[in-house]
Formats: sequence, C-alpha cells, structure tokens
Amino acid sequence: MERGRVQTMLESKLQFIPLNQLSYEQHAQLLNIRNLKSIRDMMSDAKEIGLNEHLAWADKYGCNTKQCYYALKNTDQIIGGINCTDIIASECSWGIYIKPNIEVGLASFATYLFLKHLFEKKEMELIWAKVRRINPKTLRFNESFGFTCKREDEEFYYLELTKEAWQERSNSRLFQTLMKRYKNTTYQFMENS
Amino acid sequence: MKEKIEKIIIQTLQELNDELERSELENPTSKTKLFSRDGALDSLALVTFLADLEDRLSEEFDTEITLANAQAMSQRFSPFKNVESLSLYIQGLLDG
Repeated sequence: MERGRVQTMLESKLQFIPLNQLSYEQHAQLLNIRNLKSIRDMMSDAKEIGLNEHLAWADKYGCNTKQCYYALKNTDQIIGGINCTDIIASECSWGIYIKPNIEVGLASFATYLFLKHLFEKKEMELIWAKVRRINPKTLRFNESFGFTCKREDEEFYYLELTKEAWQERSNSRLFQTLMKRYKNTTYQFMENS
Repeated sequence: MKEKIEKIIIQTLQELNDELERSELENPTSKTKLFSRDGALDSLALVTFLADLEDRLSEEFDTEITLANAQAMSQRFSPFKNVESLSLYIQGLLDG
C-alpha cells in the first residue's frame, strides 16, 4: 500500500517561550489553562491558583541549571506548558499540559521537539516521568515516545527514557508520520532573557 | 457500507498494533475505545492510525478522504472515541 498519499499537513508556528518572556496577557492565558479542572486534577495540588501566586511561581521557575519551564504558543495563543525539572548532571524529569480541544497532534509534535531538544541540545542522557495511576492516557502517551515503567506505587508510575532508547525510536513509523504531518509547521525555542 | 468501514478500521488497528503492542487492540470490535480517557490510543498513536486509515479508505473507496483535519481532531465530541463512532463519522464523510 502506498503510504502518505492523502496525509494532511498542517501549517502553523509553535514557540517554546520561557516564562519570564511572557506578556501579562499570555500569563493570564497560561493561568487559565493551569486552572482547568482536567489539568488541576492531574497535579499534586488540585487547588485553584490565583494570579499573584501564578506570577510568583513564574518568577521562581524560569530556565536555569535546575529546571526549564516553557509556555507553548501556537500561532497566536498560549496552548499549554512544557518543562524539565530536577536537572542533575545529564538527567531530568519532564512534564506537559495542553488545553483541551486543541488539534490533537500538536501535543505530540511539541513533545517530540522538546525531548529531541533535551537529548540533542541539552545533552541529557536520561529523562524521567512521574505519571499518576488515574491518568492512563498520559501513561500511554509516554510509552509511545519510548518511556518504560521502572517502578510503581499506589499513586504513581515512574517511567524513564534513555538517550539510547530515544535514538533507536527516532526512525519509528509513529515519529515519521508525525514529522510528515507537521512538515509545514515551524518551531522556535526562545532563549531565556 | 458500515460493516466494510468497520472492517477496514479494525484491520488498520491490528496492523498498527504490531508496533504499539497494546492488549486492548489485539482483538478490536466496534466497541473498542480509541481516543478517550481510557482509550487504547494516545495522541501520537492516533496521528499515525488516522494517516494509515486515510490511505486505506482512499484505496478501498477510490476517493480522497481526510480524517485528521483540525476540526475533527479538536471537536468536543470527538468522532475518534471508539470504532463505532469513527465508522459513523467516515460513513458521513463518504456519503458527503
């Protein structure tokens, strides 16, 4: 069967913006997403976040040697956030949240670019993820990117992805289809100011 | 036509599952959950599944069909919830 005869390709622009470069309006958009029930329910603290609390958090969690938080902007709106935290030597953990009803492949495309950035530009050797057991969709999402479960407890699955496993997976059909679909989407990692 | 579409969806899922290796997709039926909270597909797998399915449907029905459009992929009531809802959605597109 001939592959890729019909496949839709999307044109847009995806930006990874460090929190300290967001405008006030963009902070408000990001805060709205952080406060969505579907997202709060998956966080360790489910209470609603106030604007001042959000701005203090954003000040604290910029990009530095320990962590890097980006807001994700697609064309003209903030659609979510992505981060790596607990950076120690060449290891870190990662996380993503995207507002619902967004073009579904965008989360995958942003994730692919971010993991690639961590392994290739930030020279990470191992990336961890901690996924709540009540969130099987996120577990599957991580598994599709090559993460494997190393241990679990009553509340969480603890996953890891090595650089070697990532490289082995880089030619997988899942990634190739994703790249084809977003061939016309440009992206940019903005630097910390 | 619905049975034919469902058969194509199921074959496409089984083929993709060679790569995904998910137990829920070993013997899919019309009730198999696809892209829902506890569905078998995450967003990365869904993108590949829809691309494969578009190709297969276009060959079978000799017409170009686009499933992975931005509107369908961001609908509140997603047509990708399960095999049956996807089948009805495709039938609607083919009936045009």
